[in-house]
Amino acid sequence: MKQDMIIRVEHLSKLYGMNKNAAVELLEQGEDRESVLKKTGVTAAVWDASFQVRRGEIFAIIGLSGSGKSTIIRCLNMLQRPTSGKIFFENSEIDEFNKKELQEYRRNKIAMVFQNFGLMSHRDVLGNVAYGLEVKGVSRIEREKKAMEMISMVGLEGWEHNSVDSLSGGMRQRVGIARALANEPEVLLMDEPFSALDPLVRRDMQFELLSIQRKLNKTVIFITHDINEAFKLGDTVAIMKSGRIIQIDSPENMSANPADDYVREFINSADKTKILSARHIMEIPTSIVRPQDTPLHAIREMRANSVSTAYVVGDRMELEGILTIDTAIKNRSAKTIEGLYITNLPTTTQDTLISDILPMAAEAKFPIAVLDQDGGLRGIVTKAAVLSSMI
Amino acid sequence: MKKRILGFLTAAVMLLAGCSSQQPTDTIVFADCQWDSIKLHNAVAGLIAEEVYGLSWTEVPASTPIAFQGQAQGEIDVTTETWSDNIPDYQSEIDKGNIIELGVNFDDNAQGFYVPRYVIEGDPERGIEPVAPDLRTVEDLKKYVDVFPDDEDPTKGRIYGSIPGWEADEIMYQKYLYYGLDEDFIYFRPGSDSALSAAFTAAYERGEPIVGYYWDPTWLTGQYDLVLLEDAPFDPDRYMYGETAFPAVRITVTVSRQMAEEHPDYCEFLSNYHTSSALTAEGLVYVQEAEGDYTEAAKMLLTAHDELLDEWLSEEDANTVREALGTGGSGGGTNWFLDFPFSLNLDVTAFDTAVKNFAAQFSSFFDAIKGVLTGLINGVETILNFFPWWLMILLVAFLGWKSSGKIHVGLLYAAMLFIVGMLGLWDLMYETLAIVLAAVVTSLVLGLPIGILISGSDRANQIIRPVLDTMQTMPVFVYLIPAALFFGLGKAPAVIATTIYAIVPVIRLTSHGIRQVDKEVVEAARSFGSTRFQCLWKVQIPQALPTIMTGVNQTLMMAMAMVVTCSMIGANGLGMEVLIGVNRTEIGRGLLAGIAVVIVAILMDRLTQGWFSKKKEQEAKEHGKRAKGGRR
Repeated sequence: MKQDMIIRVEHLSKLYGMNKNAAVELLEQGEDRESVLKKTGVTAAVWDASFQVRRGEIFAIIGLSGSGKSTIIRCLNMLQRPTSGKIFFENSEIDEFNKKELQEYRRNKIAMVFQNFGLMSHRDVLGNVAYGLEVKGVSRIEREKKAMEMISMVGLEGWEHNSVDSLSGGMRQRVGIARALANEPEVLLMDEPFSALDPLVRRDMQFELLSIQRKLNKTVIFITHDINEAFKLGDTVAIMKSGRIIQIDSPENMSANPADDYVREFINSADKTKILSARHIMEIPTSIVRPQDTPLHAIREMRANSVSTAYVVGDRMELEGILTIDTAIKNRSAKTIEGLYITNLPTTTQDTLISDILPMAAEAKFPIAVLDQDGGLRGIVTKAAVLSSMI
Repeated sequence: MKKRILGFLTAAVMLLAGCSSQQPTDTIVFADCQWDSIKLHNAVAGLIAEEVYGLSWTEVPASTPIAFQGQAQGEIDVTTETWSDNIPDYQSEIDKGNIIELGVNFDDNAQGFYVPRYVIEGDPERGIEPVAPDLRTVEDLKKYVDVFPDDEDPTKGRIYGSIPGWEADEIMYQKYLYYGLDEDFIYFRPGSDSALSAAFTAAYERGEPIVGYYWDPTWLTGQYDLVLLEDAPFDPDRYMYGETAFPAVRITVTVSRQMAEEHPDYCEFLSNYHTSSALTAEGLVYVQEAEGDYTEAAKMLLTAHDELLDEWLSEEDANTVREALGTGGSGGGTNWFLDFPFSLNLDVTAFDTAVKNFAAQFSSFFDAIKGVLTGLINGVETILNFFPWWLMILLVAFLGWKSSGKIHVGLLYAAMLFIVGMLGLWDLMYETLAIVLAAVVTSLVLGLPIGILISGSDRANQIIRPVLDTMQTMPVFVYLIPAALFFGLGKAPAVIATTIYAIVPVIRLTSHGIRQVDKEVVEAARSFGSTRFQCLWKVQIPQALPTIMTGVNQTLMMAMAMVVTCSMIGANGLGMEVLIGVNRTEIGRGLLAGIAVVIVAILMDRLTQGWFSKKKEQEAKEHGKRAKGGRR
């Protein structure tokens, strides 16, 4: 207890069913959840969970679905009431809070982000983000100002009056995060926030979360079923199985000393997927021109896509080179762009590991072109994508 | 002549069924027009048919005009109590020979305006003061306008008229005009005979003054002490215009042509079948004693009045009947295999009495509710009356155009409304709308909170669900008449009955809508420290709104569907017009009013629904535009 602990959970249990006493007896004897359910009809969602969360850390809880991680996180803001055990926030015992205290706690100290976003479709982006301030009684002008700040922090400025239904998944979760942050909570509960997103967007969001966390230094309790995500984001990782916490440790220690076979297997499954190649992070190039196009056409193309370079490809999409906007403007009276573009480019293949691309990416002035066996352009890898995937 | 609409559908179906299978007339079919005394006469005539002529008998329930039609077509064989003056087609069918009048059952009855005796003389036992001591004649009523105030317009008096569609109704209305009662009184059509008797019952049990049409013999005139207001002596040429007293109606025994041909001997007996008001009233007392067993009551009547058999039958046949009465009849034992052998003898009359006493005891409470509702209806009516016809049509056209986005739809709606006006039903439509809207407002005021309550509590849900099921499936008439007992006749009880029926969808769909709001969204709202009310008001209700609006729309439609039924307790409007049309078998009149009901219903449905879907569409479009513009 040398460090500043913001949340402390002691012997937390959550049981569902009638005959709880009998179930407790069996569970105390170490019987597993399945046999307890069979014998007593009681479901032990969580049994005897104890852990502490340091101020400012990301605490990741990982487990398969049904392992009890969602129940634990919902006990932390009393969306579900624990059957037994104690939960401390700073030094107050939150399971003893009365209605008013709980309300204040939820309004000021802790906020939550949901797996399926939990957004209110009858409100626009701004209305959603301002919701927490609204129930607190903050005046309209003030709360909208604060909400706008949050919206721009998650990169959604210009979208504040859109309906949330019109947003993509990643954007919706940005709204969810902005909404949670608008209240300036000390603790952010995140219940599998990125599970519903596709892998590319998920990586962006993880990156975003990390940068926000570094900036605001919030305590985050993060639920996931993806060990990569847990290891990437978590300062501390707790692994759960069948309602019990099996091991709590830093990712490094957990990798080095798994508590049992179950944990080891979990970590091994991570290593397999951890091997990312260029294919996984490449993007589709936006501006493509042909050698026989005029410089003016190339300029238009680049402007339309707000980029400063265009990829020059032949008839069968084979990469010829890259044209910068400066060159194109300088030579705008030329008949074609033939000879104007740079042909000496960093390239790679789709299956090249990211770790191998890294040195190239560090030096390259332009995004790296990803080619197939026939030299055809398949995509580009930006420096940002390479670096963020390494986190 | 009594309950009419009730049996309408069943009778129609039965008549159709009868058409397809021309049964051999060994079974005599009696018309059961659903009042007590005709059932008694049927039982007496049926008993003799069984014992003397070896014929079995059965009854078909139908309203008077339906029964009469059925008889003219040979589906019904015998009507023992044909109130000839109350049937418009009576003479023409007799002339055509489709129906044969065999004789007069009794003709010493009376009808006219009745008041309870205590109104004139007071009733020291019940502590009732005489409020109209000099009331003798119909004309005297003018002096006592204040004694009989109208619920809906207290500046006027109320006279309960006859049942819409009866001949007597026309005559009573003429009388009302003839005596100049229209200056101070409202002629209030009660809609059905059961509603009228409920009005008399309620007033009598409370000891309140009431004046209205009634007739004798009935159980009501037997049970309560009513006084017939005097009128000018009967004149055959003038009574039709309401200027004199009624003649006694010739209540005849009639048979179908087929019956007369196939059973001349039995018809001969029927032609001798004479009774009197007094005898009928006595028989009805036996019915009470026998707890509603008409056959038993018939036996008691024949035993007590042995001489009737000699009047009606030959000596030999009369003795056959006497023997049967002595041995308890040749009914034979119960067939335990086919007939349900057990019976629970519930004292339903005690329940009736309890309800009546309850109504009387808490009359001030019910009057308060009635006052609120009457105020609401009048308020709605006042608002409606701000819109003259042309403005309303323009408004509907405009709303139709705006809600559908097509101008021709607006024009179509306007044309439909125009048709209602051209049918001469504009004012009635407003009256109907006032009731419907008042019922919808009441339904929403009560239904939304209840729906919200049961969405949040499983226990409340479990308790209220069967209640809702009951409200939706309980036949309307079961509570329509009690509503009249508690709240009198007219628009206020109509709103209550309509609310009971129409409130269900708004409750169900409110609850359903709130329950199906995404669980995570609700969790999110709670996780930000929303109070329960904030959660409900800012999240759950807005999220459930489309479903709730569907409920509101359904409530509106169901309220509209109750319009005709409610006219049976005297709610004026389009429904009354339908009722009058049906009661008189004036099919055209009923149909026109029916079409108006349909038009109003369609307009309300389309306008409310169109508005919501339009709003949604618009939102979607705007989002689309913004989304395109906003993409980086």
